[in-house]
Amino acid sequence: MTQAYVIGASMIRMGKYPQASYAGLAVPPVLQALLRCGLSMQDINAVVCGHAFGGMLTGQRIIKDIGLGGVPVINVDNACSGGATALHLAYRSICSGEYEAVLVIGVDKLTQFGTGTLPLVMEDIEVQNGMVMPALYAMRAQRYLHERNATREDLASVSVKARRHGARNPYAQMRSEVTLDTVLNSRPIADPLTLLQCCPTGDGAAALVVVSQAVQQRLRLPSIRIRASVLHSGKYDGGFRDMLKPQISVLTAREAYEEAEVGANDLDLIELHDAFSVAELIYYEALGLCAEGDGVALIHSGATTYGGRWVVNPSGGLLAKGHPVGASGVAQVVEAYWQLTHQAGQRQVEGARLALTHVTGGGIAGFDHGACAVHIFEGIR
Amino acid sequence: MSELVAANDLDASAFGHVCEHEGESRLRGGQCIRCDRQFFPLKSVCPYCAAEAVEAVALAARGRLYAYTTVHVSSTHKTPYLIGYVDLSHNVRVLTRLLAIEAQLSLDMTMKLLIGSDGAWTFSPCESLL
Repeated sequence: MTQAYVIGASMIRMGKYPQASYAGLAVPPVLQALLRCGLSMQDINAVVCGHAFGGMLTGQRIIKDIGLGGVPVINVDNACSGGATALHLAYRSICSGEYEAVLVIGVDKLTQFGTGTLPLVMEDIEVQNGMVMPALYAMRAQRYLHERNATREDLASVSVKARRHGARNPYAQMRSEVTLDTVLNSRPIADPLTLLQCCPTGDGAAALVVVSQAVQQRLRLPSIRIRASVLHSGKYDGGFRDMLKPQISVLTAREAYEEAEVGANDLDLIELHDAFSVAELIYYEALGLCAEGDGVALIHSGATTYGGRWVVNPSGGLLAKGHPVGASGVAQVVEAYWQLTHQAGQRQVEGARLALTHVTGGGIAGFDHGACAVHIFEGIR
Repeated sequence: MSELVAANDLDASAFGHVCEHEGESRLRGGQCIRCDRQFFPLKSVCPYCAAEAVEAVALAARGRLYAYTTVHVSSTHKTPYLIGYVDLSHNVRVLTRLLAIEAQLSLDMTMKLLIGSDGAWTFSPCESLL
């Protein structure tokens, strides 16, 4: 089995582009990603496009603008894991020898819905009864405060860190630092979560060029090797779930570590799914950065920011960089590519060699999440 | 009080979420004949083991409040509103609107089912599980 490498990566700054089409969002990073690695349209064997709200033929609407017709285009919805699922499919098709070079796109435009919460599917009984994504995370936060003996300030400190990191990222939607008081006093969304503890509404797109070992060795460009690519769906359990133990993330991360033959302590940076402040604290445990109950101590120790053992969400994460859902899984990998090829500018994690990216997604009754993808990368310079 | 469910999920409105049990209104769940687990809402196939052998069952009228939140922003409902997870017997957790003021609520407190004349259902604080 051959190995797969990311040899080109790009994204646009996430933000509000209400006048843009999906193609308008995605064409610039697609062209940049191809330009960076010197590949032309003729070198691309297939396209996989992750999105949640793009509608029919999202990928084709993008490639028709750049003369890349004819090749297979696969459109993937997996809620917030759509982009990472697209990468997973590209990875498998290259490892199996089916393709030599695959273009991966992640794109979404949330401003089409105005402001407010992500539209969920009304067929679902919990959605019918008033479930929205901030409410799900708010209830997790409430249990977290109760069972981990944490405070609202502890939750808010996640947003302060995210915004501090995002302030150094020119691709982030939110580029100003905030104080603990500002976070706590922003308007309530779903108690105990306030506005600045929720990822912003926005649009964005990101693109990757994924190639085989043969192509990587021919081009000899800065690249990252995909050491692990693991995808899982949720499993129904309509009973007394422990909301602080996201089983799907625990399982996916464990398998990714096994596949990559590394442990959490070997990583230099992590881009994790901080759609809401509490999520980061819960995922510290799920990804094995700390023992159960030690998440608050971990963030306050500085272990998850610059100068610490890892940098968690150097990009600013979903809270600061933004979260156009289908784009996020790809945008996390763009960040990993920049960091591991030492092109991350003033937010560069010193000496970064190994990175993990993690997305989950979707609110469905009986699942903790609908999908989860974890990738581990190694820089090849 | 139970009925064997025929495969009629093509009409999602065929079963209401409410049933009558010993003279009072209850939520209607499913009970799998093969794996013995209960679930909500009622469907003709067991979501745990895929058995097409499900009986309708009246769920417990009282349970414990696992978590709750006041929702201030929603794409589907008029805000603000209170929702929460109530844990009923037989390992069934139900997401429900709550009829309460937030100050009355605390984690793990006991709640009871209330059903309006229009069939709308909610849970409200109560003294005990009995």
